[in-house]
Amino acid sequence: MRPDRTAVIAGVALSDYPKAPHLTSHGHHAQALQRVLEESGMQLQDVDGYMSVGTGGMNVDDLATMSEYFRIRHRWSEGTQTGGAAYMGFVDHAKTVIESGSCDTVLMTYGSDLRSNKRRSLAPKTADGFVESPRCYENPYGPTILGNYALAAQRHMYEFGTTLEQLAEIAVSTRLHAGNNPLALNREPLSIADVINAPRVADPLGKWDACVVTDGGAALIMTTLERARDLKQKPIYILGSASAQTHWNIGQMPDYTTTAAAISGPRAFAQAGITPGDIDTAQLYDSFTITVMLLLEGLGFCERGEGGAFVQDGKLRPGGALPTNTDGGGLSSCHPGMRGVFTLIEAVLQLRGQAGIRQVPDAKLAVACGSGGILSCISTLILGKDQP
Amino acid sequence: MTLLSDAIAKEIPGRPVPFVDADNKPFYDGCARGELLLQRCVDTGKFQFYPRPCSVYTGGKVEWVKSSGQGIVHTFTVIRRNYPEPYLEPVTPYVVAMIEVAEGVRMMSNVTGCELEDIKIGMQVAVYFRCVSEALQIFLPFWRPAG
Repeated sequence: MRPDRTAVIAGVALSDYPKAPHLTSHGHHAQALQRVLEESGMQLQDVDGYMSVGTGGMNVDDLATMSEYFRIRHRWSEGTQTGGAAYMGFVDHAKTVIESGSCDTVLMTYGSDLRSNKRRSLAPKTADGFVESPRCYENPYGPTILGNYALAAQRHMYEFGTTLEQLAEIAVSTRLHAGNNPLALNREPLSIADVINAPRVADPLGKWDACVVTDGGAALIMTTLERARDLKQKPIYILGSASAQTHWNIGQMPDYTTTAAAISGPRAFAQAGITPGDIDTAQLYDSFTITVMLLLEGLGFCERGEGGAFVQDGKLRPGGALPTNTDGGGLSSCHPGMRGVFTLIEAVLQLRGQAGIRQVPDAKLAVACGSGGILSCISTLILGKDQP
Repeated sequence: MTLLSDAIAKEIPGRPVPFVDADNKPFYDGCARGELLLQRCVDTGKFQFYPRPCSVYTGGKVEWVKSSGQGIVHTFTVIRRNYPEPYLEPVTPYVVAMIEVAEGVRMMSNVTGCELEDIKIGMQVAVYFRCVSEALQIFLPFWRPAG
């Protein structure tokens, strides 16, 4: 009988967060690597594929540098920069490569000291006083990162009557989850009033509509089901995976209330043969409250424009119908610059039943969805506890 | 009420200025002459922004066409606190908007010359041009209420 080459997630690990002044960006990669080898039972010399992606401003090193750093002799590598969607895209690509036989075991690492290293910044580098095309058509007008997302939020409120209270519910439900994660940066309760009464930063969004700034890193290992059977953890299955892109800079977004989740979501659900109603827990990139609302709509949890009504009954909260961002998300727990990998890892922990006091009871199906750029690249993964 | 002054439509120390290259030189030259130039796809007649040497519709040729300079506010935000661009703090608050230009493209800009509270999605605006670098003679398009 031929070995079962079904690609599975066989190991996940996080480095120290949310504040880790003792770790460099590289140190986050290294600590996460050590932890994922330990928890999975995999050996570094078994790794023949590697995935990592750099970001200039945050000084997260690129694939080639990190391959050298760990001295990985990869047969296949992947470093496509789609921002926060990259890690879901990586899993999508690695699945194909493992199942085709091009390589057997793929490692992914990420690390960032964005909070502790004050030299880091999300700001674009314009040291010589110039900004090049295509950023030169936006940057001089001072949009700011939060302002970019506010353009989408404002349009959503205009088209659909979405309220600040409905957006605030996403910050509140995420904070409640953070209360169940001892490591989360912000755990104190937050009310709807707290969120909407906080000073506006970029109308209509305020301080609590935005993610935190932390340190953090992660590692993940994928291999064949055959190999995973000899390892320490129960394998997690990739039931559906898809990626799509509509633009990169916010000024080029074709429709400010529709993201590429409306493309990658339905494709991933169709592959998995399930519907959003079957999902036990959602891990959705939450750079800002509006990001979550647009992803929920795009993935098909509700109709376009109905995200406000969908969230306002508290279904994203602990114990709700769709517990979402159960580790406290980027809004309250951990966001070192590219959060994508953390949504993926939280989904795996939930499906393994290893999420501790924040465990969603009997979680069998999870969606992890990454948004990269400015609502630009959206990659969707449907993960399962049981073999399909 | 807060009047949106044109302070953001002036030279601001520390603000990066566009790097003028072969692809966008006609656009910025137009701005300096007080003309908003857009690219039109030769094959389909559809407009595109930002400047590229090929059509986003066909990959084929594009030609430069003078815009009417009229538009509407498609969406906007009021920037009240600046991160990570502290050089704009002196001109805060200001409005960043996506302008839907009459020819069918959208471009980011600032809207000035009205009360902040009066900015609305759908409001009609007209383009104007200001120098943001005396030394380099770089002009940018800005927008204010039409009429």
